[in-house]
Amino acid sequence: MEDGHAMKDTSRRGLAIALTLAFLFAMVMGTGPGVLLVNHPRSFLGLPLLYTWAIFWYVVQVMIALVAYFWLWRDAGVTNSAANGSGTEEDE
Amino acid sequence: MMPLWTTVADVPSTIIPLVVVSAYLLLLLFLGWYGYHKSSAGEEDYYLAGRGQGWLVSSLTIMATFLSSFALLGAPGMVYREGVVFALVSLNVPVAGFCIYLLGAPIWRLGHQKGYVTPADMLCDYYGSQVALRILVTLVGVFFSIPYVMMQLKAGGELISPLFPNLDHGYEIGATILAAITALYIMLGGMRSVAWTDALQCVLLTIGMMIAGVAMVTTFGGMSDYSQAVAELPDRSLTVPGNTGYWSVPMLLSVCLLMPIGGIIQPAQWMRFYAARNPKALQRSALIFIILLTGCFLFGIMLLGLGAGVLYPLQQGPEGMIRPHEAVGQYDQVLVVVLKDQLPKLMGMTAGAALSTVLIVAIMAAAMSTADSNLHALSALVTRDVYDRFVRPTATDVERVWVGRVVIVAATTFALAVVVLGRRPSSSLAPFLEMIVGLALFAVAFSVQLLPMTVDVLFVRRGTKAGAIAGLMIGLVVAFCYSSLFSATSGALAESWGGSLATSVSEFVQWSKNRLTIHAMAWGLLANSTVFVLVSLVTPAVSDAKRLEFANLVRSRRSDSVC
Repeated sequence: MEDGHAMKDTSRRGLAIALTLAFLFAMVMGTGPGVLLVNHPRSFLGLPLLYTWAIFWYVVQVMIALVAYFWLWRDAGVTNSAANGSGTEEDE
Repeated sequence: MMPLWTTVADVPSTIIPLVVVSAYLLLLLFLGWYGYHKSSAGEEDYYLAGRGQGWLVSSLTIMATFLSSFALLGAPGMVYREGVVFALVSLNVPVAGFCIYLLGAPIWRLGHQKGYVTPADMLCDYYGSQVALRILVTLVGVFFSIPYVMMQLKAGGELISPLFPNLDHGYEIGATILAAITALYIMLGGMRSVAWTDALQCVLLTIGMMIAGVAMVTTFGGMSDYSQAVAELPDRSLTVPGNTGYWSVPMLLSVCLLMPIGGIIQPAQWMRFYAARNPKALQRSALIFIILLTGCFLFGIMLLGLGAGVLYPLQQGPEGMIRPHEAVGQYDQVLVVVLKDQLPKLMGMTAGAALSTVLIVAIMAAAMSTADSNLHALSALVTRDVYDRFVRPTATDVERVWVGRVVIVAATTFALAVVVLGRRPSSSLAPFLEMIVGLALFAVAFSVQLLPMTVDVLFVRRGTKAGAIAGLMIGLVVAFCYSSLFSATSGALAESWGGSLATSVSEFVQWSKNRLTIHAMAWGLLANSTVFVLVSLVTPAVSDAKRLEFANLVRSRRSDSVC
């Protein structure tokens, strides 16, 4: 299936690098030294600050996963199958 | 202490839990029988369900295997003990989710095209080591599976003993019932039964996690009152490194990065990658895993554990050490105590009994879904990697399946014996078995040692056979030396190793732990990776033909579309 759906390899590589860096940043901020920025016994939005911080980085990680799923992983099957001439992946 | 099922109800509420729990256990046995009925003779069907699992069953069985009793007993206990810091620990789950696709898809491609069943099949084929490496990888599986199964049986015992305080040996009876039913349905239907029961159990336990959180907030009268109450927790409960000081930033980061990887490349999950119908099933599994499971921890277990911290404040023991409130007894019991004390007040007798039942079944589901996966994987490892290779290479498929069943019985009996005997206060294993989370981290410290080899085979292909063997050996030894089991048994080890060596090792371990507070899994991985790289630099490489073959198979997605 060679349509506009399939991203070019260079774009895919760029997106993959960007998502990897974003995920690593989320880990460093959410579970690494970034935690020290909010390490106070205060509340924010009705919850302990550290708890809200964890929820925020969870949302970031979910966004990264959604972008990877819709624009990277699924696309990988399409471009490769097209290149191989073997059609698209069968859905279940 | 009154038993839960009599405090929450008279008639008919007393009957509800017994009927529902019995129905649940019978349903598991039915699924085991149905899996047996649907299966065809042969090892591949018994261990990988014919490599035909769709995305729904794949995602549910992967999640159920990952969760375990850690989810509903261990994690609430850890939140109760440490406080808000566990919300940050929950962020390890997305790491596992990404690994499902990033490691799982290439593992699936190799397994699908080369007919692998166990992790050792793939690793030993690539490195060309059919004896040393195969035995080591099997050992990793044993070191991971046995503690993980012990953890689940312990949960079964801890569930039953407070529910029936007047029952003699309630702990032993609970652990034995859970062990017997789990072993029975695995032996009946193999992977097919395990996956179907996992699917049911995953639905139950994720619902249970969310209900537990909602019930706790409702107990306080709503989110506003809950927030105010939680804000009054001691400062140490609201900050890093938590109440005991365990979760320092290096410890937090090392556990959050490595524990999920170890949980995903353990043998039972690895075999689920082989069993998937195609990589698309793994893509969807990864996405569902990341969104659903992390959400269950953050919005279910966290709310429960923090609320419990308000209702049952931690107490100061001798020398400033904290201990659980006397009504809780043990940290891992906190959910059961909340069920016993709060739900009847909140919902009345009948509804309280019904909701308690759902949560009790959810806890059982969490424990059984992981125990079954690990016992099943262990039987595959011992049968294919030991019996088939070194004992009877000419064994038929049917014979191997029966050997696998014997392994399941033997492993279950061994794990049950350790859990029952180790609980006695006089046992040197008692501190090691104290908390479910501790057992989970101990097991993962071994499985994560497969990471350097796995990454090399899938993506790098620069390592050598000698490097892989040396790295794995060193990694396992170092991980053990930094584990809580080594601390608990160092006295006995000193006698068997010779006092000076054991003492020197123990002192060095303590010295390095004081300087860098990372988990045993990270110490093991550090040593493993270093040795793997250094030895690979000076030993003969894997043949070019093999490297090219694996590179092409990993990159080739042609097979993805064929399935």
